[in-house]
Amino acid sequence: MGEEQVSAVEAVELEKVYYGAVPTTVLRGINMRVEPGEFVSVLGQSGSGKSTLLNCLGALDRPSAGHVRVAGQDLARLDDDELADLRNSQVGFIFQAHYLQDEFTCLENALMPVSIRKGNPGDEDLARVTRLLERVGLGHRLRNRPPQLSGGEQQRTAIVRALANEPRLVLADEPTGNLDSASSEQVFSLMREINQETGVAFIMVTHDDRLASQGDRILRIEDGLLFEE
Amino acid sequence: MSFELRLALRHLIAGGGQTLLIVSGVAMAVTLVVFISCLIGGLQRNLVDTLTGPIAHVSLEAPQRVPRVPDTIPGQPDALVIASRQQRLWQPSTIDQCRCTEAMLRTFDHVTAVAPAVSGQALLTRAGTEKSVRVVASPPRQQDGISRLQDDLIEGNYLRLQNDETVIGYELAQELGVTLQDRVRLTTGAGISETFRIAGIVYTGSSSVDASTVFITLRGGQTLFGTGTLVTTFSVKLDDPFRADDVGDAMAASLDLEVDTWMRQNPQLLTALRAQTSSATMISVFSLIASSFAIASVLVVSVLKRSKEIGILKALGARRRQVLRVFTLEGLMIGISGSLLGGALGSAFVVLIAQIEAPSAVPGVAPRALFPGALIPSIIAGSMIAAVIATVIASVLPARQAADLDPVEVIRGG
Ligand SMILES: Nc1ncnc2c1ncn2[C@@H]1O[C@H](COP(=O)(O)OP(=O)(O)O)[C@@H](O)[C@H]1O
Ligand SMILES: [Mg+2]
Repeated sequence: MGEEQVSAVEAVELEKVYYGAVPTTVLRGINMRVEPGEFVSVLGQSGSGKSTLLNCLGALDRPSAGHVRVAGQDLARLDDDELADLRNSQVGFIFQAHYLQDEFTCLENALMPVSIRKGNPGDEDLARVTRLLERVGLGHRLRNRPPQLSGGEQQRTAIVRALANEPRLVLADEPTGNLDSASSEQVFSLMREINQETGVAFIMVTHDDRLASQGDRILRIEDGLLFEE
Repeated sequence: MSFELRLALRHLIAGGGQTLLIVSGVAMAVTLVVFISCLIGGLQRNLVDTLTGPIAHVSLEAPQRVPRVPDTIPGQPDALVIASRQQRLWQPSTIDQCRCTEAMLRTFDHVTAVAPAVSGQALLTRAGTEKSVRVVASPPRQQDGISRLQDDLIEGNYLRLQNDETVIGYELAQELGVTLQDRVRLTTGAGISETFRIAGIVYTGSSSVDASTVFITLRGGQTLFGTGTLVTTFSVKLDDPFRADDVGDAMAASLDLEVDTWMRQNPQLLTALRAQTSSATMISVFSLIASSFAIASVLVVSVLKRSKEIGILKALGARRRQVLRVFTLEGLMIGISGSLLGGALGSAFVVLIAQIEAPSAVPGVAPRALFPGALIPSIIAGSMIAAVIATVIASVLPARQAADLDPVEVIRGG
């Protein structure tokens, strides 16, 4: 199988049960596949399991049953350190909150995945990440710290951070949930453009039907099952 | 610089006042430990120094003669036998081949000085007053290596002592009301009597010496005690007083002499010193434990405050060990800076308090430090290293707590 045919991410009979006082089955047998270059929107009621699904796809959480393959690798076969390395190199996360670190500049925050992998980012990394920051319109903000940035700028920094190690897959969990409509529009367009320019696969959870419809495909979670629209 | 180290540094800098607080916590504990240990260590050294300064660490004497039972000597009237035995008992036992023995004693480890001596009890008389004294008769140059007499002189001279001269203790001189150039008479148990001129008065700080010892030359003593060219005692000084028992044992094993050490003569003192040392150690250990608990709790709170950030680091691919390293490094840096600060402060206090002087009771003697603390490098380094280790241990629990954070929960909670 050639490099081109490997899916960005693939779930087979994915189940997730939370074993609390009363066991809750959140995902009950999900099958899906996202190819490189695709932009997939995920819709669903609050509490329907969208975040749970994304966490399982992104090697952040382990499924109760079934398999997840990221870039052809079966996550069940990897130990915690290998999962961490896979998240670092193959997956980018964007959350509703930006989770940038106040002690670091915009550039340092965006370089965080590189630093985790290498200790010190090299010149090449620096150039690549700087270019990305310029691409999202933050060329003049490199040395600013997160509290000095607007909400939209913070989230754009988080987008660059997700892309810093050139992953195959970006998982965005309500990335525009905290933003006003203008910033939402801008953040979404940037993600979509980068998706088309670089071929990185995106899976975006959103409540906004209008944004969702601008992706390649829409998936909807209901009663723990996934439906293609 | 590694990413973990950079992160730890940023955390500490961002911590600001809290970092200062926790570093001063370590510094305070180290200050306390250094101060108390150096003070007690210094006091002990001073005490042992004062006690053993003017005396030998190890002294060797000829084995005591076993008196013969008069019955075994046939054909002599009992009274005569007893009289001659008594006369002989007054005479000290002597060591033959004194030069050879002296050279051999010098070959033992830790020996810094050896002095041959004739020593014994005598009666000191001066204008009707009499006092029983210990006579130490030894070549002044050699005896000075044992007793530092020249340095401890209040007046007069010891190193140029003549055979008809003596140096006596300050308290003894006070008691007899004698001064330099006065003459005193020494009478031995064997009835030999000689007159000596006082050539020096010495204040050693050790009352057994100051109140009841007189020093004369070896030749003077050999005449006084009738030992001819022989000696009765070898005094040995060591570079470390606490080796006295070990070195004494080694000497006893290879020489046919009776060995005595200052340690064997002062068992209560040694017990007291040991008790003091263990209480100082206990105080040190407890203050380090207390500071470790304080550090651990501050770090636990800082991990809680940073749990979001830690969660995101793990989501971005930080391994468990990396997170562990960040917070252990924080502990290490806190420990190192606190120890350096505390080591400096503690040492400064020791030096400062050593400046306080106790006025001297004896005219002509320089005042001594009231708290003669000593900057003992092993104690200072030891306390600092112990504090660094304690801080790192204290940071392990919070570091594990951080490393075990589940990013999913952190992100869901935020
Ligand atoms: N750790 C957990 N223990 C028990 N139930 C959980 C846990 N995490 C999530 N859930 C439940 O799983 C369901 C799905 O959660 P989530 O994936 O966050 O939904 P969404 O992102 O679609 O709003 C919710 O009902 C939530 O209460
Ligand atoms: Mg959610």
